[in-house]
Amino acid sequence: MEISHDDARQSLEEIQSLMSRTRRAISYGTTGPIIAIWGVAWILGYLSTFTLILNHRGAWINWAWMIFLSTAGLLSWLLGRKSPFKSPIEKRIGIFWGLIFLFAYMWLALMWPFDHYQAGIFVATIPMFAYVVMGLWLEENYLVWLGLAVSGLLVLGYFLLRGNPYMWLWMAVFGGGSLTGVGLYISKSWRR
Amino acid sequence: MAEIDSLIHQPVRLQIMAILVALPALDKVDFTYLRDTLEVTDGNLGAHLLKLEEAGYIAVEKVFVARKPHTYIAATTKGRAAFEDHVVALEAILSKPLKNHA
Repeated sequence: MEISHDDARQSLEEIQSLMSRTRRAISYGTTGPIIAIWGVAWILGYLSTFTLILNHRGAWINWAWMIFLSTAGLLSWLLGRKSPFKSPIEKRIGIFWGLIFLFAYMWLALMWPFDHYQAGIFVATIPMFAYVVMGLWLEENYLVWLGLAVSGLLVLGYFLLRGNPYMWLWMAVFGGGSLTGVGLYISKSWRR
Repeated sequence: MAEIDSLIHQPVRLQIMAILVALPALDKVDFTYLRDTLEVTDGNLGAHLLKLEEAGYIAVEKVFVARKPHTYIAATTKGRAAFEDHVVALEAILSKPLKNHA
């Protein structure tokens, strides 16, 4: 089969373009919206915590979190199901997340007693730690940097504002806000 | 020496293989993603997939997800090797000096 120089160049360019587009779609296509969903859940959860504490309605905090987190979990699951890519690694990722939260729960039980601020920062940095591990595991460097950066911001807020309800506002802005911003940015930019 | 694979070189099939080979081994992609990305009709895509499947370059799996039929496609080891050979052959053409037609 005879192929001209131009035809070969054009074919190789097309192959390159499609392969990199597919790799971007795998890396960011579903992950971006899922990160944004969890960011919004964090914003709503921490804003509710902040507002409920200021209004002396702390008993409602757990309920508020339960609603936001279960909604985010359900939406993430639905988005994951809608992904056009299927990989045998998905089951292992699901098991990994389940185990991470199982261990977090165990550590919380072992470390009891602690105050709300310690519990808050602990629970918030656990998924960020999971992002770092997933980034290293799946060779997605942006997840490593996202996990490290958000953890750094959260810990900074903890040391600056521990014992002050404004720490929850910090967590909403720098934790939830960062996740939402990065998630939206990834969702919009991966197609370029 | 790697040779041009005429089955793969057809434009739509070349694009299909490029997408499938970009997936990690054992991963698969939904039929609708291929159709929408390549902007082809169901029938056209189906015909090209059949040719690639007959050559053993791809594996097609039909499953039901929430009672809806879904078709997933993956590149086989043979398909990945054939595609790599094809790319090497294209690169070899590019590495040759251009003939002067003047």
